[in-house]
Amino acid sequence: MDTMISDMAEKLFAELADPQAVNMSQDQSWRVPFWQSIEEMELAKIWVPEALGGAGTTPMEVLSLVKASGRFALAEPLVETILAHWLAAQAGLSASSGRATVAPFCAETLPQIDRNGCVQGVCSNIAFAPTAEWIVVLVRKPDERLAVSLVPAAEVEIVESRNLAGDPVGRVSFRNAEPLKTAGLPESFNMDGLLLAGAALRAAQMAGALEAMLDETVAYAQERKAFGREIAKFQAIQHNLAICAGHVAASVASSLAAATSLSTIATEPNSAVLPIGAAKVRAGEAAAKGSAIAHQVYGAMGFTSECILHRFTHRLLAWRDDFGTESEWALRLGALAAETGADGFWPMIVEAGRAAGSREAA
Amino acid sequence: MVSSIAFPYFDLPPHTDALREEVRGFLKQQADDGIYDPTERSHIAKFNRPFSRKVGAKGWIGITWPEEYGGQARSYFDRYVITEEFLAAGAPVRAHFVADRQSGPVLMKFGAKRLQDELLPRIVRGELSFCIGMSEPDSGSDLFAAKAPAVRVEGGWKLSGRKLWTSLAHKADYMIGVFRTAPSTKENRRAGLSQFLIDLKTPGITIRPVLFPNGEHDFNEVTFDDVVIPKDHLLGVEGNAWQQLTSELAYERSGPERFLETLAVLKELIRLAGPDPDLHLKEGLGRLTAQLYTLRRMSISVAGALEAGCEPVLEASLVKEVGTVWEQSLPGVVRDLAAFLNTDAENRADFDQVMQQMTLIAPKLTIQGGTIEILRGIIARGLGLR
Repeated sequence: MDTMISDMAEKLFAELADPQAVNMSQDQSWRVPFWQSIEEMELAKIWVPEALGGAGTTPMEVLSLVKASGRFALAEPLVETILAHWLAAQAGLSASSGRATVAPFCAETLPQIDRNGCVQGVCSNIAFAPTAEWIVVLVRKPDERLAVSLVPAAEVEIVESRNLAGDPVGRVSFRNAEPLKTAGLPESFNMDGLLLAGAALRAAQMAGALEAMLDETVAYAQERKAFGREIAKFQAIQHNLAICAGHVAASVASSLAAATSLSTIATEPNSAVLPIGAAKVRAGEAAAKGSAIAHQVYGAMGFTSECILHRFTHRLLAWRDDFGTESEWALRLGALAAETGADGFWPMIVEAGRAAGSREAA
Repeated sequence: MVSSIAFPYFDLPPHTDALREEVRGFLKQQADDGIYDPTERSHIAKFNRPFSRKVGAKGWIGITWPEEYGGQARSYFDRYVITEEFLAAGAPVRAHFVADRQSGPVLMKFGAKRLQDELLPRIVRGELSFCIGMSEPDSGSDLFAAKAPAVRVEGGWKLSGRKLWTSLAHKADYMIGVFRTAPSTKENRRAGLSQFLIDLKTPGITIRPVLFPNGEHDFNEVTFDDVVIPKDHLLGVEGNAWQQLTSELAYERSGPERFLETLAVLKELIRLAGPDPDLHLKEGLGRLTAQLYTLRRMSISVAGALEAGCEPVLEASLVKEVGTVWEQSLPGVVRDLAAFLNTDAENRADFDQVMQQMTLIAPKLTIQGGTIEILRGIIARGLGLR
């Protein structure tokens, strides 16, 4: 059951966003039918509660879908739009259709709502801002309380750039930006919630991309011949890919485990910090080490734009920087460990990830 | 092509919470009663028969075994919880660990009824210690190059040759050893090895220490000088050691003992660092926390698969590969993180002592129980590269 939606989505991705086909295509025309199908299947609403028109799926299903999108190294803001709908839903808002993204993407000063109800502020490194129709923004109201604003793209100024993968990124300036709607968040909503949600989704994307990267690299090693045999037959290649597989495994295991923390991110973020922070740290380490091994196995062939390897490796490297770098999360985890102390450390490791999911089930 | 690496999320069932508390309480009690010293780090201190008997009295040895063999028929997860709590606390499990983990299961699967009836209850009570006789001077990773012979004699088997690296042979009661009963063939180089139960008090056995570089006595050389053992000490089928061992080796692959062996250095670092250490230490500590948490998640996922009756050979090998590399590198990483800490601090002596111990034993962690190169070959096979 947990993979029904993601299995369906994978078929869609394979048909309309196959990495090889995308890489080969001379234009961007693949994006149109792709996004249309996303809208038709309402995939972006997967993390919205049923009461607000969503599918009401489990956190594990959400992560499975996100991981599947990582397997295809999707260069469209499906994950960002899922996150946008989720954030809007936290404030009881329903975002409409269209490509969307969220702001902020890191722990920076939140934009403010002024007394006229306009959004003021600047958010940096917002993935897919240049192609979004909506930006769902976490804002601070004049009374200091947190809220969510749905801001049409036309209302903001964007300085566009590209991340390592060549995906569009924006530095978004909100200058008297008039939101379509703004709604307050419950008192219990913690700002960390957005960072944690984003980190969990990125970690799952990265796990998917690592898996696919490994699959492609293994397939390459099984075909490519040198010195009279497939390079897969050389021990050096086998051992390096075994080490790469260890990184993939670590990333997959830790990112899926984050599912148990997702249902209470907004209200009890503290218990999510270790499972999600660990997943993001481990994914980042795996991205760096795994992609280096993959490139080494591919040799010169892999260091070309024609070869699809870069579609995975560049995204892996870029996604490390979203919703907290490895160092930022490590600093938080280290602070937790130091505060807990030597004797509390092991119990802390055991407790982590036993949050909402299993306790509710018990 | 879909990846063949599966690490679904598993969590330990809720009933294990109470067991975990019980284990923690038990450890505290044993320490208070002086059965063991939690600050004692040496390898040999981890071999503690009185402690093992206390564990046996709780019914925690052979906990997953059928009741007919003296076990509790409890789940794999129960065993997992007990094991990880013991190891995280540095408890002295070595007198019963091998018997519980593999020797007992081998006896249950392949031992004569007489031996099962005689030995299994004693293992369960923590009275018996087992060692493993596989490696020889000329063969370790290449198990099938083993040549110490076993020949049929009147009423039994006659063993000769030498086993090397046999951990704790000098303390154990029994060995389960692999001996050659027939030559291997070109078609099947794995043929010809058989598993035997050997009472280490049998005449003709000489055990000689082989010291670690730091002087600790754990490894041994065991020489068999025409040692005659009873006929029914052959375990399973003659010449069938390979098939019998394959599942046994799978047990060794993925448990918490594959990443918790050097945990003490991390705990002592945290103790030394205090509640608000410098940025460098905090960040490094956080990375280690993330890595340890992840290893545990991987290991529990495999435990879940095993409990469900699967044979996750690839995943288990991956846990061991990632785990042993991590635990081996831990003393070095911790050393770097402690670089700016006060050398005169109150807990410094404890920290230095455990760092010395773990730094010096680190090299063996990717060698023992199957070298990492062999493991990487197994992983490569699982990926379809071989």
